[in-house]
Amino acid sequence: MNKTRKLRVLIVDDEEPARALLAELLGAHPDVEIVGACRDGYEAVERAGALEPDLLLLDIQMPKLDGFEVLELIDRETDVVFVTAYDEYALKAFEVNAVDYLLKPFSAERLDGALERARERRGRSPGLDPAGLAAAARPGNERLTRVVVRDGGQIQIIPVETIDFLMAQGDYVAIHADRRSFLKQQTLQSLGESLDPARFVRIHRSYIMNVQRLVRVEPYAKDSRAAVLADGTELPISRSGYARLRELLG
Amino acid sequence: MHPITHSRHRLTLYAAAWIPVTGILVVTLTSRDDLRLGEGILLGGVLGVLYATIGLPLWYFCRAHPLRGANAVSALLPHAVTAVLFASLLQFAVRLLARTTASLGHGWSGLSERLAPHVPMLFLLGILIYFLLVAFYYLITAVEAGKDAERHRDRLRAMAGDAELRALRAQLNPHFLFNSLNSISSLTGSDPPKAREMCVRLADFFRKSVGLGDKPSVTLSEEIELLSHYLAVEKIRLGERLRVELAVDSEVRKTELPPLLLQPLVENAVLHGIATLTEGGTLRIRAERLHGRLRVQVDNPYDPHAPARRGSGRGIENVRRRVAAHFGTDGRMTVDARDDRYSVVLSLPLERP
Repeated sequence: MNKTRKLRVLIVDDEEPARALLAELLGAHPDVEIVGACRDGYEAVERAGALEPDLLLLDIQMPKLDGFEVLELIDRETDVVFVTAYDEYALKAFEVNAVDYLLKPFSAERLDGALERARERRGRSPGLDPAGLAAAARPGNERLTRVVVRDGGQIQIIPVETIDFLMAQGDYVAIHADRRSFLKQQTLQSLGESLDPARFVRIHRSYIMNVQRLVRVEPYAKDSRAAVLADGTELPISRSGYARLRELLG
Repeated sequence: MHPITHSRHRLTLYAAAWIPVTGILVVTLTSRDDLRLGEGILLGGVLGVLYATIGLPLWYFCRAHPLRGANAVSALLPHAVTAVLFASLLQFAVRLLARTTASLGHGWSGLSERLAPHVPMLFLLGILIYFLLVAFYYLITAVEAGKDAERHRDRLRAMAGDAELRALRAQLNPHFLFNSLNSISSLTGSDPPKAREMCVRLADFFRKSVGLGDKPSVTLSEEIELLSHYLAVEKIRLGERLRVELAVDSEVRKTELPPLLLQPLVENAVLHGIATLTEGGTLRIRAERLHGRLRVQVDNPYDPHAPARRGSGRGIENVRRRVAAHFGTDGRMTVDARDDRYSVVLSLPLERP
């Protein structure tokens, strides 16, 4: 028997009847322990961090943060089952390595199946970059309108139009916005892909720039150039980056 | 496109119309006994063909000088000049012809001299025919413009119908149904009487919304009744988070408006307003008479920083299109999103035109 420890579940849904339904149906599983129920994205991030659940039953459309943003902000790897009335996120939800995807209204059997999958997966690390996968989970044509990061204990919401540039820092991205800098655990590549290509251009292996901040391009060393931003910041431009920039600016 | 040459049928009719005109020319030419019938037919026939031929391109000249927006002088002047040119050219052509026939030999001699007394008359007839042609072309233009206006009206009507259809389709928002069913599923275990109540409310809402959707217009009371069914369902789902203040002046209750015009506004207020707040808030609906018009305001608190939800703004745009389609410039819709309150105000005529 590997069911030595209970499956600790955190319920996240802004609707009281939806939370009550999950709690009632989970009550039929003696090996499941409900560690808490959250009403919005902030609560979910906070309590997922504090309670360290094994499994999140996660709604997608909620106040403050949507389900994907919640996943981006949880540091630990936690299994997740999405529970939503919207079927359009289903395909992509599995790309964030979701255990399952329940469409409301769902049957008790369907929830049992999801729990069974969660038990099987338990302890097996997904070993994947959660933020990158959450980015991949967005419907393809949907561009990010904001980026969420954790800054110390606080959740910061950065509207994309306030971003000046992004810089790769190992497994992290430094987001420079509004004269501040935030670190986010995600690759530059994956964050760049969910930004509007008409506004953000990769000018260098390690830099993505908001073209609306560009003031001028200056020659730098031999064969290379620098972008000067409105606040005076200089960013390196590689040769292929310069080609992309020129293409974008026509 | 030329109205006559673009169809063979019309060209035939046009040619046929010239036969009596040519007849009149022949009769005029032979009326004084100085021209023989054969000569009259030759000259009149050639004139008729010339008139008919030159008459065709005249349409382009008329099109280049539309009557609309022109005053009497600017409308008449170009035609007066062209009419004189037209008539001169034709009488010159017929005189040239008469002179040429003289060289044909016996019998035709002296035709040119015998034609001379007819020239002023031919000139006047040329002017008259010119103006008849011009009048004919302007008439065609006016008829075509009328048809265009009708086509345009039909297109507008089709657009209004389309907006209607889209609105009704948006009406049957499946997520509303799925979420409601999920609430019912929950209440079935915890609170069966409430589950039953929600089933009834949900049925009431759908029945009413299908019923109203079939009508061309409904009274404000009917629309408000639909809203209360909708809000009753959402209240079970959102619980304490959704608080509603509804105020409808009795004097506007009987006002007629297009069906399901307010429902998308209220749905928007719930989904993109109240539901974005963890603690919820108060949704206010007010309908009153103001400055002789119906004023409806739907306002709600919302989180301006809420994560983007699918379909946000679509309901509002639908209502805007329908107001424009139904009331034209007589209907106004203002959306005001400031700080953390979102407000939509409709101002509509009390009496339907």
